[in-house]
Amino acid sequence: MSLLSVRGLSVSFPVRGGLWGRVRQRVHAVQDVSFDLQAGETLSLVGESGCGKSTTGRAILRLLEPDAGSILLDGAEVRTMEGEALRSFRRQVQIVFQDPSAALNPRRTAFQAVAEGLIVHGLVSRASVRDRVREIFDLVGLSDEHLDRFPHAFSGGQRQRIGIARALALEPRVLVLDEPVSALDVSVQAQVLNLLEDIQARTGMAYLFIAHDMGVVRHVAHRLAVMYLGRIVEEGPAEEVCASPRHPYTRMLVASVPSLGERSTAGTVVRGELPSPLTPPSGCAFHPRCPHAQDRCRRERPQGEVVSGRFQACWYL
Amino acid sequence: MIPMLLGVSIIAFGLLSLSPGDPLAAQRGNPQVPDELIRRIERQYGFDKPVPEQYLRWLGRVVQGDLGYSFKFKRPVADVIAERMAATLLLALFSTLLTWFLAVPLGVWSALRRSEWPDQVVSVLAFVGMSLPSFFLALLLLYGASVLPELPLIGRIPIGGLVSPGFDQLGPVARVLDVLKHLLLPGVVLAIGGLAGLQRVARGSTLETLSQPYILAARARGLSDRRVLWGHAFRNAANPLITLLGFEFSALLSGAAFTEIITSWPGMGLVALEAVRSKDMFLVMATVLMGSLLLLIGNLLADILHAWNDPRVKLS
Repeated sequence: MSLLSVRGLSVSFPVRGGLWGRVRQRVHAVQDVSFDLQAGETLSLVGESGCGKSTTGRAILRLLEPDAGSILLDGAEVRTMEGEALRSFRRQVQIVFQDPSAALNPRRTAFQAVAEGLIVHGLVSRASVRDRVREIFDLVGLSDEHLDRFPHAFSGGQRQRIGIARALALEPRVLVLDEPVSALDVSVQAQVLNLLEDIQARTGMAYLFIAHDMGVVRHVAHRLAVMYLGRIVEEGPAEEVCASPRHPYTRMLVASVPSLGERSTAGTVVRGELPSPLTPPSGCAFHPRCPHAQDRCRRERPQGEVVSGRFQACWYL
Repeated sequence: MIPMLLGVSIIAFGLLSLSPGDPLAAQRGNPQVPDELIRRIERQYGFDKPVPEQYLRWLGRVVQGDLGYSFKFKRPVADVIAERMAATLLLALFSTLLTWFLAVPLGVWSALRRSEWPDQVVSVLAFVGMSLPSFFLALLLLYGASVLPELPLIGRIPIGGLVSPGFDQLGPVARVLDVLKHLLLPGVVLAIGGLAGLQRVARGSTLETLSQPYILAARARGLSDRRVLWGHAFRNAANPLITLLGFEFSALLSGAAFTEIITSWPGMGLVALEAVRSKDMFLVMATVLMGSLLLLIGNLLADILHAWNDPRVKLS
């Protein structure tokens, strides 16, 4: 049984308009998304901004209410959890946000940010909170002198370390990383990625790594799920997908990563804009940007199939 | 602060000097006041000198703590102001407290129930409150209070003034109650005017704060809704409210004039109107100075509250 298993997850948002703010229609941000996550594994959700990857992460954490689907942690349905079960779930599944400046309350010190979760979940006695926070700070590469500072006194990389420390304090089994390095300087990105790798090696935590940068993803992910306009279009082992991408969209993403000594091959560069999810294209949502699109792609949406261990949703593979 | 007060006083003094009228008109028209006396008063206060010199003389006296003499009230300006200021401060304090204790919880509630019926009802009421001119609301409430039968406990709601006739004969507790009863009507009028705006700001600020990632992060850590709202969101959402408080408090002191006039509340607004109408030079100048001073004090108050609300600032 998988640690975390997502089946047929769909999330939509109401679009309000007019004088009375009535719901005019719904944007389908995530549609029929399924995947499994094992302990000690990193699954990466990749795609352009607006493809629904962050929404997926938030729905799994129950920060958003999904329309349909099921989320199972150790086989237990998360969507119906209440009270003590929900509290326990919140301890086991944690999140690190993209913008570390916005994710920290400006009026709480670093110590308070990390300590609050420990106290609320009763993980340590009141007397030993400070010692425990010191240990966690040590784990993420922060020192004692940082404890009583407010977020504005830290650099971006340090703030993200506090964000990671805050999540680790609860000793979660699943960590959702919502673009954890894309707001950081490139030099700092590598440090934070290494830190995350160390922590996973030490604790066996499972990561759901949400990202848009294939260059980052190919270094950290064990498996890869590529999302386009709310759906997964390709999924498989990260190395295989990067080495031989199948779906035309994955091929574009892989080709868009700049590399030394190679010229980007004409025709495979990402072209066009992501269509509005308010008016998704008919058939295969990718067809307006796909170099291989044919009549069938405009009419019917490919359901997707598993071919030699990899999921793919395209008519012409 | 000092340059601003100087600027305000120069403009006010200049405008007053340009305006038609004569502070001593009443005395001149009185056949029992000899011309000799009027000329002596003119010399004493420098009304026969050019305007810039008049201003400098006035400024010199003010710096020494002498606000001058009110020809209208026939008393020193300082006495008139002190008495009226107390009444206005009392009214401002009462209506500010009333506004805050109603508007902030309503704003937060509205934000939590966004787009549901409680939010919509409160929003409609807020817009009605904002659109109602205070003088009209005051008249409505005055009428209401006058046709209301005697209520248990309170009796009749007074429709004007600061105290009832026979105030001097009352005991200390009864005196406080008497003033509070008189405060009710002007206080409610002012509170409704400020309530609507503050409720909107409280709602908007709470909504904005609740959508911040650190609020999501707090929820993701399994904190209770109450802890998220009061422990994380509220203090951050209160910032714009505190800034507003500084302005509102001073605006109430000077801008309560309409309400004061209609409910005959003997405060600064009423006295300022009377002073301008009789061109009571020194009294007008004193009310103008008071208004500017209070704006500055209101902002200082807001700054102190900001510091108190923000653990990052240490007052030493």
